[in-house]
Formats: sequence, structure tokens, C-alpha cells
Amino acid sequence: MKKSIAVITILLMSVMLIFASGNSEDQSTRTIRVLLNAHPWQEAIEPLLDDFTAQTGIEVELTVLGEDVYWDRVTLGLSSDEPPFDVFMLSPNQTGFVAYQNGWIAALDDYVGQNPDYDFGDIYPYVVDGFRYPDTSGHIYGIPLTMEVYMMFYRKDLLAEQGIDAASLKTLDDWMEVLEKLDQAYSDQGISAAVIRGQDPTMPDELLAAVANHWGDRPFIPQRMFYFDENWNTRFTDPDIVAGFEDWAKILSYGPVGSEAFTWYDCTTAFASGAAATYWFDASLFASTFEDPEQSVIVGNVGYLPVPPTETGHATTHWGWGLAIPEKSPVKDDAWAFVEWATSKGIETQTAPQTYGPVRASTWVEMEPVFGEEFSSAASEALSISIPGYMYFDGAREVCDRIIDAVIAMSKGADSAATMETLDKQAQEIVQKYNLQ
Amino acid sequence: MKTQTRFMIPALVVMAIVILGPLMWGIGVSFCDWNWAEPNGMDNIRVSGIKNYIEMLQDPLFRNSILNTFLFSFIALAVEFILGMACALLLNSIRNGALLYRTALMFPLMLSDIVVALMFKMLLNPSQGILNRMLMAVGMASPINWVGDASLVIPSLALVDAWWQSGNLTLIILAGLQSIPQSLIDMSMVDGASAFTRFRYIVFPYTQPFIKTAIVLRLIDLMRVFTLPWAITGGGPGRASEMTQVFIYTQGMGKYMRMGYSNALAVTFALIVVVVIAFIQKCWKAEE
Repeated sequence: MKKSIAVITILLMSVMLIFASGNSEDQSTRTIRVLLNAHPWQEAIEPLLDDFTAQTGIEVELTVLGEDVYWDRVTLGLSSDEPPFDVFMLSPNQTGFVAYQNGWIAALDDYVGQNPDYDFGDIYPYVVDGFRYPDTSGHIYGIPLTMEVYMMFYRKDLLAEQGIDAASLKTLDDWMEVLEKLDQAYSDQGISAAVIRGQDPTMPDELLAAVANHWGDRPFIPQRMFYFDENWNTRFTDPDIVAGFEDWAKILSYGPVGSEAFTWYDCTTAFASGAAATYWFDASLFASTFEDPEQSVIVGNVGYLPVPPTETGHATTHWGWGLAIPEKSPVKDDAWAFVEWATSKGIETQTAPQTYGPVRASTWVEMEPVFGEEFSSAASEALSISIPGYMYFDGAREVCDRIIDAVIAMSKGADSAATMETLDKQAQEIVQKYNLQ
Repeated sequence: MKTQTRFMIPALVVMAIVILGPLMWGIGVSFCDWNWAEPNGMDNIRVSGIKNYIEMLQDPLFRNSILNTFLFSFIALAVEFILGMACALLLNSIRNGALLYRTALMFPLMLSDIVVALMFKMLLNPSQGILNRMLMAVGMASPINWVGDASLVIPSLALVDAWWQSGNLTLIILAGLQSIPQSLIDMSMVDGASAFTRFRYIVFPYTQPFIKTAIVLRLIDLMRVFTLPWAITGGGPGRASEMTQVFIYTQGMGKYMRMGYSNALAVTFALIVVVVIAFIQKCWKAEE
């Protein structure tokens, strides 16, 4: 009996010791959990995380996910009572809007002015505005960390081989003729004339650039972009919208076999591996991949241009990633310390060579020698004709999915007028379903 | 109360909490508007009667997803049955090294669904996938668009599932084959029965209950397919490979946050699966 009591006492004491040591560890270690999307910025920041810990004493538990599962994880995490992350990458899309509407993300206005050295005013205000909800007059829910403007990329060596001078190509129609020529010249060699996003959930964001390029100076409501007027009447049969969709579908038809399913990752891989002669309406930041000898076989052969004008307009769109903090994070101050550090001037000058899309005016000036004159000039020109490409309202995701269906159908040869008519009707049904009118 | 009954109470309580509770909640939500994408939508649940079910009946995309699921299930089941049966017969007849072959055939079963999906996403990539490269190396003229061609995508996914899951049928049918008394086989051979006759009159009748069990289990599993289309094609091209589970997930947590509608679809699809299985079993009973 005495032996049993002794054994039980020892066991109880061991358990108490384990719990006690656990508690003391909790008190001495500050940790934040960071969820990042696989992205050039994430690759650039990851090796620097130890510096943050050294400066602040805050440990970082990092999780990186591919974009195909990233948004699901963000939504699931934010909707739970105990989000499994304290900082995460946010973009001004429907996920952010849903998170704002449900009070899942924290307003950061009070934090941004706390430290004068942070120089929040150095971040382009129009990029910050993308992270204000419900509109540009609202609170700030994310701090921008990269900006991407949609432009085009081409292989200088292949165009030279065909005797084509890119500078002489003034319009989108000129380029479409070139695509035909490139297709005839290189398709037998496993090089497609073009590559562009296919059935990628993010494709409708970039498609806005193709439509903007036809839209001209006509007004539109930013959150609804070109597709709905002030009374929620649908506009998918508008000739400028149809033309933008047709451009996309036509370029998609010049893509490699299977490109109707290509995500941005497939597109950049195809272009960087030399399997495509041109790459359309995509993010400026991919220049970092194309100019990296470890990821690209076309280093030094890439030409950069803003999207070429059409008969009715010349415009593109831009987009961005930011860092946000869940409203229910128990360590918001520590999370902000990370956000402030990760978006500071010093860190951005270290990440910019990999993102090619800094958000601070001072970094753009500093990075010009790194980015090269051709890229800087093209990105600068693209930004000068760019508008924010953010579409969010109840039902926006459903509209985006129908948009993808329409573009894929058109790329497979479906009649564009009939397809856009169907899309217009589907959009009307969504407007009714979500009681938007 | 009997002692046995008292012992069952904890298990019943646990089942009520983890199975019956969520099930009843799901059925209840299917009669509500509960849209998390609305302002404060998570806290705003409204009873809407059969509105979700009416919308479901008018939804062509739901019908499309059911047809896709049936087509996928039919092709995959047919291929898996033929492969499973053939492998089981071969394994049953092998005397030396049976364990090695059996392990090799069961190996795909050890992989998780997402691993299989991501592996085949790379293998089936039309322009960079190794499958097309190998076929072109042996003379194929142009690459096959395995998962980008609307007419090929479902057969391609079914073949992936067959590679992964045929071992399931092999295992069950093999158990049936090994339950046949050896004396029966020996006698039939003495009587001069051909291999086909032995299969028709001895092997098939003996293994039939095992085959039926395997078919029911596989069919339920196939109809609730999610990971393969979600990770390999995302339902595309267009909606050509959008299966019902993917569609349900998209309507709810996966994208649109329409929890009420998503639950109505889930409840209906569960009933469809039950009806299909009950119909098949009724047909088998009628045959008997």
C-alpha cells in the first residue's frame, strides 16, 4: 500500500512539474504565428525572420501555403474563434471584404502613426486605399507589402529572329498579328506564341486589365468595376467588355496545350522555361523570376512593355498584397511589431530585388539600378495608365466564376456574342440572388 | 435497465454529440438563409423554408455536377472492378512471391488522396508532364490534353482513381477467392472443367457476396469524390469535371459562404447516394 502511494505521489509530482515548466516557458517566450502565401515576397522575407526575433525577442512560427489552398485556410482560420495565425497576407479581394464585413480583421489606423521612423506616408496612398474597407474613405485593414501592375513580357531573341521590332508595334492589333506569325514559326518547336492565365481563380483580376484597355475614359463604380452600373444593371454585352474578353480568349488559344487550366505559376514556369514567346496581362513582379538565372533560362532576353493600346482605350490595372491581423488574435501588439518591421523601409530594400514591386516611393528610386532601365520604364508607364483592379461585393466570387466559364468557353471556340449574353443573364440572376438592387 | 444497455450509454451519447447533432444541425440549416459573406453574416441566420431546395432544383450547375459525378463513378468503378478482379485472380494463382506482388499492388492505397492528386497533376500536365513526354518519346505525334479537354477530363480522373483504389477491390475479391474450398477446384479439374467454366460456375458464385460488398463500398466512396477533381482540375475546364462534393464545397465554406444552400445540396446529395445504393441492392435481391 505504502509503495502504491509513493508511486502515485511521484507520478503526480512529475505531472505538476511538467505543467509548471510549460507555464514558465509560456511566460518567457513571445511567439507570433505568421501565415504566408507562397510568393516572391515570402521567399525574400523568410531568411530575414531571425533578424526580427533578434531585434524584438518575438519568435515567428511560419506557415507557407500555395495559393490554391491559401484562401481556404485564411477564410477557415478567420471565421474560427481562435484563428491559427496572428499575421497573414491579405489582398484587396472578396476574402478581405468578407473578413471586413464579419469583423474578422483588425483596423490598423491607430498603429500606423505610432512610430515616426516607420514613415507610413512613404507608402503610395493609392495602394494603401486598396486595403481600406468598405471603400477608400474607410479604415485601413492591411499594410501593403508588394504592388503589381499588369503588363506584358516578350522574348526579345525570338522577335529578333523573326525580324520583328517591338518598338514598331503600336497597338494590340499589331501584336495579335505578331502572335499569328510567332505561332507559325515556333509552335512546332514546342514554343507557344503566348501564355496567359486560364482557369485560375485569380484570372478575373487580371482580366480587368484587358477590359480596362478597351473601356476608355467612361466612368465606372470602383468596387463593381466595369460590369455593373449604379443600379446593378449588368453590362457584359457592352462592346468594350466583350472586346476585352475576346482578347483574353484569343491569346489563351495561342497558349501551350492545356493552358486553359494554367494558373499564374504554370504561366511563369512556361515563360521562364522558354516555352512561350510572349506573356500577357500579368504581374510586373514576375520580372524577378524571369531575371533570376536559377529560375529562368531567358535571363537577359526578356522585353517589358505596358499593355499595347486598343482603338478605344489604353489602360491596365494594378493589385497588391498586404499584411493583416485577425481581430481575434491574442497578441495584436506583437503582430503589429512584425507587420511594422516587415513593411519598413529597411526590409523593403532587401525584399524589393525579389518582388520587383515595392510599395514605397523611396524604394522605387533606390531600386532603379537593380530593376534595370527597361523594366523600370515599362512599369512606370504601366502605372501611369493603371487603375486599381479590385472588385468586391456580395456575390462577386460567383460572378468571377461565371466570367472564367465564359472566357474558357470562348477560348474553345464558343460564339462570343452568345457566351456574353449567357454571362449577362447569369450575372442578373446573381444580382437578384444576393438582393443587390 | 440491463447491464449491457448501461454499457452502451457512453457510446450512444458520444454518437449523438458527434454524429446525430451535426447531422440534425445540417438538416436544420438547409432550411435557412445563412450567408457568411453578408455583413455580420455569421450571426445572422434566418429560416427560409424550402427556398434553398427550390433554388437547387433550378440550378443547372448542380445537375451538371451530379451527371459528372455519376459518369466519373461509373467509369472508375468499371475500370477498378476489371483491374481488381484480374489482379485478385492473378494473386490467387501465384504461389511464389505472392506477398511481394500483393504489397506492390496495395502500395497506392497507402498514399493519401492529396498526394495522389498532386502527383497526377504533375504527371498529366499536357505540356510539361512526364506522361506526355514518354508517349511522345515513343512516337505519339502531339501531346494529349488529359485534363484540359472537356471530353477527356472525367475519364482521366477516373483512371487516376483506378490506379489509386483498385487495390481495394483486389483485397476484398482475393478474400473471397481464398474462401473457395480447394477440394471444389480440384474436383472440377478432375472432371475436366475449363478455366472459364470454373470461373463461371465456382469462382464467380463464391465470390459474388464479396464483389457486391466491394462494389457498394467503392460506389459510395466514388460518389463522394472531392480531392481528385479539386486538386487536379479545380472542376475545369469550365465545369467539365466539377463533381458534386466540389460544387457543394464551393457554395459553402470553399467560396460563396452560402451555408444554408450548401447544406441543402449536401442533404440532397446524401439522399441521392442512399437511393442509388438502395436501388442497386434491390436489383440484386430481385435477381436472387
